[in-house]
Amino acid sequence: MVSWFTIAAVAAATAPWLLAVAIVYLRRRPATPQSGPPTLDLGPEPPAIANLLVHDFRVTRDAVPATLLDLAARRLVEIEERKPGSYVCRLEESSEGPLTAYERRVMDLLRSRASGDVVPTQALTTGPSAESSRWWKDFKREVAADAQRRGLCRDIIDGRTFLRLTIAAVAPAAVLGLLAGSKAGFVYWIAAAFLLSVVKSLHTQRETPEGLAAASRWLGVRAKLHEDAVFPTLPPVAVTLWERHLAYGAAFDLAPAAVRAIPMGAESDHRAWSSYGGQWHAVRIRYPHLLPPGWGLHPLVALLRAVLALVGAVVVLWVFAPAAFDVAPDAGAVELLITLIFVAVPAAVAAAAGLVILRALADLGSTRDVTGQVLRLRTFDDDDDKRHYAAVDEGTSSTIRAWRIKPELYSSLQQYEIVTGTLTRQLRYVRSIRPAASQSQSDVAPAEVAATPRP
Amino acid sequence: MTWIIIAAAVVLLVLVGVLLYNRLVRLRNGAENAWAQVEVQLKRRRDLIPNLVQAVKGYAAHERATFDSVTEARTSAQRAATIEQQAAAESGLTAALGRLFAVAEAYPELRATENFQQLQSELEETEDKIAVARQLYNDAVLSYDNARETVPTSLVAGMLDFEPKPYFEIDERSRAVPLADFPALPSPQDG
Repeated sequence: MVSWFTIAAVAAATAPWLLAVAIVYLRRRPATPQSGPPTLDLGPEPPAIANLLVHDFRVTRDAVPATLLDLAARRLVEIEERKPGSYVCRLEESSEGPLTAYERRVMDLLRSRASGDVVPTQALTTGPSAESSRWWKDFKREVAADAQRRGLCRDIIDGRTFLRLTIAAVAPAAVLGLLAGSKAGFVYWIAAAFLLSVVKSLHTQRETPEGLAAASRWLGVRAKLHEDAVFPTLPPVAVTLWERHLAYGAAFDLAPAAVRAIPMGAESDHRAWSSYGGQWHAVRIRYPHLLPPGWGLHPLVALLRAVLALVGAVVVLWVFAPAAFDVAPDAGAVELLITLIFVAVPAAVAAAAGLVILRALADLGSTRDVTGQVLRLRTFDDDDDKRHYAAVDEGTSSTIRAWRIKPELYSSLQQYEIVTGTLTRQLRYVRSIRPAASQSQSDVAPAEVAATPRP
Repeated sequence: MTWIIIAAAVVLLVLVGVLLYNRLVRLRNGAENAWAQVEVQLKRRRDLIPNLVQAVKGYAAHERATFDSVTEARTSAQRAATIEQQAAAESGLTAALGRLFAVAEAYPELRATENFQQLQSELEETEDKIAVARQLYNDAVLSYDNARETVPTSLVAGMLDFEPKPYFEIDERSRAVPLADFPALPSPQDG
């Protein structure tokens, strides 16, 4: 039991340290820039940095589509409209050029998703949520680094200050160590360093005099663009007309229609774009669990389970069916309902089990090879059941039922690779899965995007 | 009580009517604004033409008929009063410009001049912008027409005379500027 004296002593030692952290943080908060005169003259900073400058020295999500629009305005990427509300990005031949790290990151994403130099804007996702989160953190870090290189901002808590504050936390940790044991003191010190890291990550950048002047200028641009009532409705293809102004509008939250068309966020589990089969197409993905029964199971396992279920259902029917037929016509509604449940449910189970038995028997001696693109790799974690799925698009349907696969097969796969799976025809039990022999992603014919006749 | 219900229903109906009316007005304004963008780009193209004609004239003064046809087409494009007339006039102007570039093709020295290359490049860029502006205008008209013709906005559109707007239809394949590589500029040694 920790004594009150120990608590009081540690609190007394901690107070100056907490005060020091608070003073450092509060005194170094970024200053609020005043808006400059409204103007359409763009400065030298790219939209992502302008985004950081006008958003209290924080990068917002809109910086990513704004960067893509800027690349389009600079003719490194072309954005085309295929039908109202549907856009594609096309990599230009001269898409190599002097780029910043975050622009290169966006170009790399574009290249990785493109088929035949074309990719629908809706397919420009940054991966599953964890990967997307990493991508976004790296993007922010690169933008902040570029802004620092240009002398526009600096760390709120730089490395030296962080080190000093961490060392300063040794004092209260030592007090606790003396009074409650060295282990408690060490844990306290680690916790203090962790708290400091959290404070550091709350707001990483603050202004420099040059940054404040640039932010003021960009706020003037923002004010001028804000005067145009059309801006919020402009689609991304309007970058041809508005050029870089649309990119900056997107960076300043003034072009929501353009930003909406280029989501560039985490990918959806249930919707994806695929270029497999020669034409870009949207697909819906399902991850079958209970239905259809037996999905992804080994035929013998499915057969065994289905036989057991059938026997159970037949026994229940054997017991309850005669009683159900004996129910008098004047029986109450509740009695009829209960009787119906005791008959209908086992009957349904028996029917399903019969179907699984037939499918499992058909699967015992037959497999087939299926080649397609892995659009999603997902693991669903129920209480005691970890289910691994690979959603493979064969290019034949707009709805995919993901294959349920074994963990060892799952770990060997990568999203977007072209694979050949050997699986049973009915229950889709995956016996093996491997990279397609002759078809890598680059071998697949460049995909076209279907165009709708326009007026 | 009945009167309160009737009054509430009337107020609700009026509110819905106002919302639908506002939506139609917004869509109509959107189409008009998109048309203004088209006009800006068309004017920009017309403004490039005199310099282009002058540039070609310096090398092919005898191609008078071609120059006259370009000038006439430009004049009729400037005078077009309606969108349909504008579409027809712009198609005529595009065809005339195509003939002008065909003439220029016969004069490699002309095509090699910096002035001509710059004009050609500006015209090509303007045609890209016209294509996009036209696309945006037609999309805006499609949205407006859809709202005008579907229930419940069609009820308000019918009562308050929201006129249909024409699409700006020109031959998608026609392009005044040939998408050809520029010939290399003569080096100083070439004289």
